[in-house]
Amino acid sequence: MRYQQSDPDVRLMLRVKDDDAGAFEALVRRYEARLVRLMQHLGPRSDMAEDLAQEVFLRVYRARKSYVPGAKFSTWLFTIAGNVARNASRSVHRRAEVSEVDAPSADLSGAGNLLASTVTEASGLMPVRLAEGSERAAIVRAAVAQLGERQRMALMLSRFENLSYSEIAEAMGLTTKAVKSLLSRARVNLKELLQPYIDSGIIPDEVQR
Amino acid sequence: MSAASLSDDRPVDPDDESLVAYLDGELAAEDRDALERRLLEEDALRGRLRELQHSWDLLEELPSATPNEKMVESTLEMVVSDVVRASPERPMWHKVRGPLVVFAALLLPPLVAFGAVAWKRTADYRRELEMLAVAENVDAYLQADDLELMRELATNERWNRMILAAREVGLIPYDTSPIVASVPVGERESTLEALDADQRSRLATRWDRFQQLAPETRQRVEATHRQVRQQTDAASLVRTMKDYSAWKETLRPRLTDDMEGRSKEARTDAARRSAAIEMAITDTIRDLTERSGMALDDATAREIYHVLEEIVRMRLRSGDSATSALVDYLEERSRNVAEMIDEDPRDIATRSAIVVILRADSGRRPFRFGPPLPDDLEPVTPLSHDELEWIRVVLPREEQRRLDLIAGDDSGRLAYLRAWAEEAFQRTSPYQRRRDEHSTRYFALPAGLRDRVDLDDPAKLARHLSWGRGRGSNGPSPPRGPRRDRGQRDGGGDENDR
Repeated sequence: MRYQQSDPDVRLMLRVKDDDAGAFEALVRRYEARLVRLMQHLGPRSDMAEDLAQEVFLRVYRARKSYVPGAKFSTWLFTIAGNVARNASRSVHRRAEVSEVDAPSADLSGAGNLLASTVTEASGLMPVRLAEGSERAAIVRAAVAQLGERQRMALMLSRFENLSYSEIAEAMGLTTKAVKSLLSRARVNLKELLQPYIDSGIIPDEVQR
Repeated sequence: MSAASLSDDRPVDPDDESLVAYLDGELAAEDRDALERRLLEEDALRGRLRELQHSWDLLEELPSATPNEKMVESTLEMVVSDVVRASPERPMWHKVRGPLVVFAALLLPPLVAFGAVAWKRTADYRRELEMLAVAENVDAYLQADDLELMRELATNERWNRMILAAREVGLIPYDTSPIVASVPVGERESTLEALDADQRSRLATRWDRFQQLAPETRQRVEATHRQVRQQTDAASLVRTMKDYSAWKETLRPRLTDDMEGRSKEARTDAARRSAAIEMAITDTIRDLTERSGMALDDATAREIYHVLEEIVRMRLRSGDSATSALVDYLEERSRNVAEMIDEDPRDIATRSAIVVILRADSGRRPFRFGPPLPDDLEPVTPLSHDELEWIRVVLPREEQRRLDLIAGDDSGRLAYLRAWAEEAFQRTSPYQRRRDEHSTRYFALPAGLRDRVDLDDPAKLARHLSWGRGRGSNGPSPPRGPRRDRGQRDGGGDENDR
């Protein structure tokens, strides 16, 4: 009842439960772009992001009749998104005969290559220059991709969805303390991955907004 | 960096953990205070905090989430097809295939019907949400479909200033900000839920009006909406169109025909169109000048009236010959009535001189009432710049702000002050009277004088009450005016009865 009163998306989902197609469309519109962004970082490949986001909505619709508002709608949605991303990664890795579930995903090797080649550039083999916006984005994206799956998920929910530690814990099925440790590792790792680019001046030591 | 060093099992430095929780605002108050004390003292810790935050800030480089209409549609289509499609894989399929086929055959039509009805309803609902943006601006689209004229007006400094003043004075609606038109269709439902009663009412009225339009008119309105949406300056255009449509209702049809090129002459003569725009702006500014005074509160009007009295006295003290001659003349004429009401004829003459000074401003519309004057009397000068500035100074701060907002430049400000002086005089002076208000004027007479004129014959009483229209050349002098009372700004009571 608490979430029903405070979260308009919960109210929309309850209408979806009553087969209100308009309410479902509203939810899709509200979350589609955010889910795609989440899936670009959580999924096994960024080009699968839209398909995975659609899969999440499909699962939401299928699960509508059993929906019970026990948390914020977004927390519930991101729990489903996490499961969909994890299943997709497993599936892709199985096909690629990669057995380690928590290993960096398939296109992470590509991300590693990007980082490695840019580091080489930064090490003096090429003249150091400030990366363009798209290059900076690629470097940051590659760094995020190097993080473990759970760190990436916690990072995305914290940084882009502004979820609190307790909400992230709920979405990921962890304790708040575990989320705290996870986000510490994510930040430290991200810092260590990006520091060479900051030190070499490839990416600025101040964020350009 | 190796993948192993990134694992979730890697030990975390307790300081890093605290710093990250601190940056995320998740540290308990006690821990936060302790950490902040350490941050003040330890350079290394501060450096570490900065590093952790900076790498986090770099996430800004990642592209932001961008809505994709096609994806929304394809997602919805996928879900619908999933609703109507039988599940492809079911456990024990081969055993229950027969019953399931029968069940599916029974279930399929209702599901298809549900899907169709749901999507028809969704489509209708969505169409209505889309049309809300058209309905919200229905007047603008109906009245202001000449986009070039709108662009011309939007760059016309006089027009913009005039619109600002028109809003302030209440000639056109003050709030023309979008209600739902600027909100994406998908978010309009929640926006509607959050509207206040006034916004709902305005939107509902426009929606009804839009619904009642004839089909061809409605199509024209929708076409204008689509055309405006395709413009790069759509938001600015809609604002101008709304202002224009409200303004247009206050103008003479002939002018709007010329402005919009509907008249035969304007179609062939571009200069006529420009002239019509300038003329319409001038008309409105004149109208606004007069209307703006009506918004003055009574206390402010009294203050202005007192300043007008002081202006006459100051002119007398400074030896202004025309004003002195005028007051001398009026004093002479006031003797009889002054004696009758036991008042100093000089005071009556001083107050009577105000109307003559106001009337002397030939640049303004005729200010008809006031005593008739002999032709050989030296004409008094109208209110000077300094005298008008004196009026401005006594205005309350809010009125000064309003004046600055609506007047724009110095000449505009003086025009408004003149109009406000006239309004203050008409409202405050015991000599004020508007047409066909004999009864008002009768009851405004001082009680003693009213008792005496009651005994006069009707014709004389009518002449008395008509004083100030300039009809009676030798009528009785004006009745007694109000005494200055600066302390009573909002007090009630009829000052004329004192």
